[in-house]
Amino acid sequence: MANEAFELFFALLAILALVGSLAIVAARFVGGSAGRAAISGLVPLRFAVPALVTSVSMLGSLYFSEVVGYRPCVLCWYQRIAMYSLAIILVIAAVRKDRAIVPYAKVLAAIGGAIAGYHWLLERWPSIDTGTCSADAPCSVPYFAAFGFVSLAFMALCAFVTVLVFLSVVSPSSAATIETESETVSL
Amino acid sequence: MNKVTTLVVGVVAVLAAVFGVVAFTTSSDQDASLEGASEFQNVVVVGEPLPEFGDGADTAIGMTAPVLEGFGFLGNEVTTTPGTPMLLVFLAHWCPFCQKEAPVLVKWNSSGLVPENLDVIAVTTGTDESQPNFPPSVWLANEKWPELWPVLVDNKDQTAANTFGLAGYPFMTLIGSDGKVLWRNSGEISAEALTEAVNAALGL
Repeated sequence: MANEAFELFFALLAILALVGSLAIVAARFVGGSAGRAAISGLVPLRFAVPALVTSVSMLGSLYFSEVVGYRPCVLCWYQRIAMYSLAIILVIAAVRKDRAIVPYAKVLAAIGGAIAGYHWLLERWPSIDTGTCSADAPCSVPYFAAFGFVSLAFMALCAFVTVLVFLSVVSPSSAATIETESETVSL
Repeated sequence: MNKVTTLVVGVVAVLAAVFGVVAFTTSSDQDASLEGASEFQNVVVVGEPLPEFGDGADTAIGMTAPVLEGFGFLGNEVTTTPGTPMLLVFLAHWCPFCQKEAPVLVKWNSSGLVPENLDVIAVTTGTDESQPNFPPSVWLANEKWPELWPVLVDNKDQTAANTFGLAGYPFMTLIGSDGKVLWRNSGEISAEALTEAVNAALGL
């Protein structure tokens, strides 16, 4: 019962992160001046939100594996390498306000996101892989899928997308560009 | 913090709290088992275990297959006593490939392609209440598993599966009338390929 509650809770958080990220992208490119102003307002959260998202993802994955007993498959382990590294780097970057880590974090998030995306596709269409379920932890079988599609792989994908959006779209240089565009339009 | 940041933080915090309340106050129904069915049963193994099935030549071919003494979902005795050719089909309820294989086997039964005198015994193994499509008793009933094909229910330690060297699901082992292993296969297999493999192994 508690497990199902946590599954639903984390699934809702993942959907919130994904919807928020898509909203940010939409605001940046089609939101007009109001969207651009909102993006500028989010710059102070540029590291805090990804740090929070990756930390919660890390703790959530540890809860499901160490407390609930869901065994990570090999693709889960690859995603964990990216996610746990990102959580540590981004927390430190948020405290130190260190922009130098951005390229490294983007690479980690992109790799982790690609693996999470493939993993989620494998869960939806197992025939992408071989026709056998591994006797150990098979990657093609999700332990759960809230709302029919929000599995652990999907949640990881949402987290990686959120990191990429905040590091790429919500950036001081992007805000400067936005302000420059606004000035140009005003002229 | 500027106004946008404050607003975003506030909205996210409120939503997270709402999600927590929703998640922890939502109850779910347990999957119902068949009345009187047990999804785990004791299994006794008589004989030596087979090597794990893997890539390359199968070293279990020609070995004497262990005998399983177990029970079905309703406690009925099921034993893999040698004497007639026998196909053991190891299935895990949560495995999507087993879920695709079950109806293939059911159709195979009604197709007339099953060799005469071949006994088919399903072994439900890897059973896990936390995984989808639980319980296997209901799953196989819904698939209309043939009544003449007994089902042996493995225990939580997967003794039956491990004894036969299962490395993946679905898994099949063909045993000759002399009790020797003739063929093993891991993964999905079509009815045609299964017929061809079984006939070849039995020399038909």
